[in-house]
Amino acid sequence: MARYRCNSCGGEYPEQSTGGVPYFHACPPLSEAEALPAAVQAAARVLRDAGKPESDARAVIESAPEFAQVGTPRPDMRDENVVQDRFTRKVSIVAEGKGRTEV
Amino acid sequence: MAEEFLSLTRRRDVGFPGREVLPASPLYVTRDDQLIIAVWNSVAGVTVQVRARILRPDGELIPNLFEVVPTTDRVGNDFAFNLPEGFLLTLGVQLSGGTVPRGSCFVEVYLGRAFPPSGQDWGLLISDNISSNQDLGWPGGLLRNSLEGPGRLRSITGTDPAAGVEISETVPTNARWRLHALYVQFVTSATAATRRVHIMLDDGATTFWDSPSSATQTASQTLRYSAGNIGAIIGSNDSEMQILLPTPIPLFAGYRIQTETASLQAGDNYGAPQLLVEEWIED
Repeated sequence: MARYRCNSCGGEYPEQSTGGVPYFHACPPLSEAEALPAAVQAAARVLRDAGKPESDARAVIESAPEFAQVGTPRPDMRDENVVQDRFTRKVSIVAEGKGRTEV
Repeated sequence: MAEEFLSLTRRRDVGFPGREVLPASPLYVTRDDQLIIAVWNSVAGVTVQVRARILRPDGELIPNLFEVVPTTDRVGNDFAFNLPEGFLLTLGVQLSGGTVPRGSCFVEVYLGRAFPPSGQDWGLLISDNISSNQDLGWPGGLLRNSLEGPGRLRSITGTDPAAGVEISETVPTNARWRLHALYVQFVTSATAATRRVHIMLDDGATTFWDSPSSATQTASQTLRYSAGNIGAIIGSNDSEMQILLPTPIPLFAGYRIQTETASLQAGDNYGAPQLLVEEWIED
């Protein structure tokens, strides 16, 4: 059975589930681990520019737009679930993202 | 003394002609009518066979066989077949090929015209879940919604996320799930931090359930989490943790089952989650 790696999120998944049912991968939202490094950089930049003490870092990080992205859809997210046009009945996937690679 | 004669059969008031008998069917169809077969399916290798017995105007009884192969993505597959003129007497639907449990394939058969693009439903004849062991028929069959009765129990292996990425499983298009259990392994990196695993349910955007683990996970640990409606948490034993889920809860297409991990580090790594769900096709 074919397995794929999502080029958007790096997740690996089978083409089919048990019993021959197709599996439809959809990328998870951004995690804290993914969003936090960018937020820390943004906070450091703000602190440097403003000359504020490091004790303000947490408040700065929490107000940084990068940190607010935790839990939001990742850029170029892939969603293999299908949509069907009501009249033409044509079927396509929700979002191609960066594609996938067979592993 | 002789017994009095008593007749046990009485003459009927209604008579029936021996010839020129009307067909026992209310469905007269013309060559302008079409038999439309609509199938929603999630299993590979399935062929849907519809058999129709039609009494032609010349009195000949003709068996017809219509075969369709639906896709496996649960979207609606519509097929239209022209009919000969006559009386539609019976319809039978059965599957060939594949092993199809209940909840995996839903069939509607109706009379219509002007197909495609939008079939006009002139009479719904069959509407029900079909399985390898359960055929459908008209007349006599029940018209059911695809969500009636028990669904199909599925054990699903989800996406194995990259390190530093949360788990997220989405209910597929045209499916309805009832989540019974979730099992996943979580390996933490050597980076010092106190992680806490949450299981979250959302409608694709907005969270409506967030259940945290009762214990935390520190650096360089491998723990496994079971989530389900287990009544009470018994704590961590042998690296096994429990998280409560609400009473088996219906999840619509597009709803998500996710983890959200407090203090998740870039080197932390979830394994592929294993889900036990009950599934229906929802067209």
